[in-house]
Amino acid sequence: MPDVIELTNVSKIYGFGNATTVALDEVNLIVKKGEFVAIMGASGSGKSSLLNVIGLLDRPTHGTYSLSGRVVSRLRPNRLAKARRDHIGFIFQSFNLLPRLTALDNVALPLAYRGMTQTKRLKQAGRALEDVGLSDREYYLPKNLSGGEAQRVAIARALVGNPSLIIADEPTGNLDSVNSKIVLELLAELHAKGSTILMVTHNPELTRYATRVLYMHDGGIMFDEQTKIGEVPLRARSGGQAKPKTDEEEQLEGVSLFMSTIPARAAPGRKKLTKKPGKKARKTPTKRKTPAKTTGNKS
Amino acid sequence: MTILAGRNVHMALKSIKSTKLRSVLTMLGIIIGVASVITAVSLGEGVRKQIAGSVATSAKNVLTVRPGKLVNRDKNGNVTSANYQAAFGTAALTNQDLQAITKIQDVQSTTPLSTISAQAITRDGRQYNSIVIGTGADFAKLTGQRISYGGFFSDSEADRNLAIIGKTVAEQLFQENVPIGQVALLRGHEFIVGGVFDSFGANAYTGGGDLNTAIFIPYSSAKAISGNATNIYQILVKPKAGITEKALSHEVTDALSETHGGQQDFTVLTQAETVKLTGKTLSMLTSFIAGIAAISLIVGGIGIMNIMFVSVTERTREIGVRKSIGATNRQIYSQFSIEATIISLVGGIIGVLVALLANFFIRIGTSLTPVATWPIVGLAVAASTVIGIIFGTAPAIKAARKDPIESLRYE
Repeated sequence: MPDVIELTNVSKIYGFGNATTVALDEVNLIVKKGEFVAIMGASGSGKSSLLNVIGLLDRPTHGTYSLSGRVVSRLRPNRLAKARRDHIGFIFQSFNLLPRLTALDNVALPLAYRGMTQTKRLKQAGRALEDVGLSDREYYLPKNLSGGEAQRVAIARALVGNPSLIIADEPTGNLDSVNSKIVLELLAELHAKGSTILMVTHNPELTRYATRVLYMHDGGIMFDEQTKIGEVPLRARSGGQAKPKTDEEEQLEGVSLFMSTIPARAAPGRKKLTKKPGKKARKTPTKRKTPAKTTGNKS
Repeated sequence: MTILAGRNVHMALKSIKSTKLRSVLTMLGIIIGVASVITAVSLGEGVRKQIAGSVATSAKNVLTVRPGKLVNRDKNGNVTSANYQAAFGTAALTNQDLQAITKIQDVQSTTPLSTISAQAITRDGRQYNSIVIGTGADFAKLTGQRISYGGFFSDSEADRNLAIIGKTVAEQLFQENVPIGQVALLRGHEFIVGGVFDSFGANAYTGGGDLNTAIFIPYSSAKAISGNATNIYQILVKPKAGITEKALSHEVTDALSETHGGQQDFTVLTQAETVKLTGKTLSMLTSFIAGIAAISLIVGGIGIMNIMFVSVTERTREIGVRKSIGATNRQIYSQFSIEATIISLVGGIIGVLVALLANFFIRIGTSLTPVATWPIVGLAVAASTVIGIIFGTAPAIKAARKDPIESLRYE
């Protein structure tokens, strides 16, 4: 399978001097064609920055990004827009349909920017709406659609141009569980047909549709896990954390650190605490894998 | 690109429709601007046409003598420019001048136009502030002015107290259309109405003023009732057969120079020069008014720019969505630019319709006949389009430069 996404040491840094924020920290990632990748992580972990870079809405500060074998990390805004138009389909949490356009016109919009004639693009848009099961809603305005329907229209818009990559940013964030399921089934269907999908989600249940789950933390990919469709990885259930911590534990940890700096009492204090899994893991990200496994074994 | 332009026009119309009230208010500046420019110019054009028409119907080869040095001439005697200050001068034509011209051999007849201070009163005491003009028997013939009822006085009636009145005088003073035989008192003297003029249009010989409100009496009667205090503002001179206007104008100039002590404080104009001079004055006035009206077009343009800026901000999210699905900066630019242009263009077209409507009512309500010509209509529409393009540029650039990520986050 050819690589759709290839990120090499990609960093994204915002701000200058003291106000510098590292949103992405030397991320390396390869996504092959046909993968359904779910990305999890707390807010501020760099998910959005990663999506923006992969979705060509933003350029990385450092590093190289190849999309379908073509280096796109240094393209000018105009070329970036064209690459976005030809290769990427977006699905947003808030649907982002244009309120004044009918469902059909909304779906046809990306084709208009490609310069396709009206008859052609309406035909193609009609087919895309059919694919998401909304042929009977062609002439509805977004305000007359239910949330689930609106998101399905948005999916039709994302897939209408046959993009190499579909990016879904919390596609079910604004939907109830029934509609979430419908939307995810649709994405799964697209995936089954060979689409490459990148999805950010907070809902661990949704990772069961994915073939691979990435956990992000502090601008880096903490874990990268291949999963089977239909299975929810345990790490996903815990939100990518090694183990859920209580406030008490958190406080204790601070205390233990403080204690360890006092030579006389250091040894007993540390001993006690090291028995607790997860304590040491906090210091370096690489060591976090250990407690994660522990959790896995327990259950 | 053409496909997209069509698409953008479609989009723009949709967006204008969805904010009808705001769009109409935005257009208002352009509508008023275009309507007033067209109305002003077509009024000027109408008056010019009327004057040209009056020349066509009037007697040929008539010289006009007016007080003051109205024009500057080159060595060959051709008019180079109008001298507008002269209109405010103190120069005057006198009875002496009239006699001097009459004495010239090549003159067939002279017709003075003189005003006297008099107020018309009917027998039952109704008053009307009309202009009273003492003139000669040839007046109607020379100016080509038609008479609706009755007739003008003849040479043999030149010392009778006859009055030929304008249409408005008939309606206002006598309150009937054909008051022939009725009596009007002028400075205590009875004048019998002998005729009613057809409506006066703008006329090259009338020198401004609405002659529909004028009462015409024989010059000698005017002299008699005013105690020779007539104020001649124009003398029409008709040459004998076979004498050219040009030749006679030299003779008249020489004769008047003598009575004026060698001073050129009078102007002798041929028919062509009269038309030209009136046209010049008129076009200056027209372009002045049109210029003022054009300012409102620019104000309208600023209004469009203002609203487009608001619209760009309001639609930030839409811009973000469009960019995320692949719209280039150029495509976003053209979308907003086309929208501004369409608002302006539609405003221009509505402005033209308003102007035509205004012209229609002016025609009905007044004696003026405004003429809207295609070039001015085309120019006004083109100007409104250009204004849309110019004033739509800044908002469109702002829209095109928006950052897609921030725009998508915009609430």
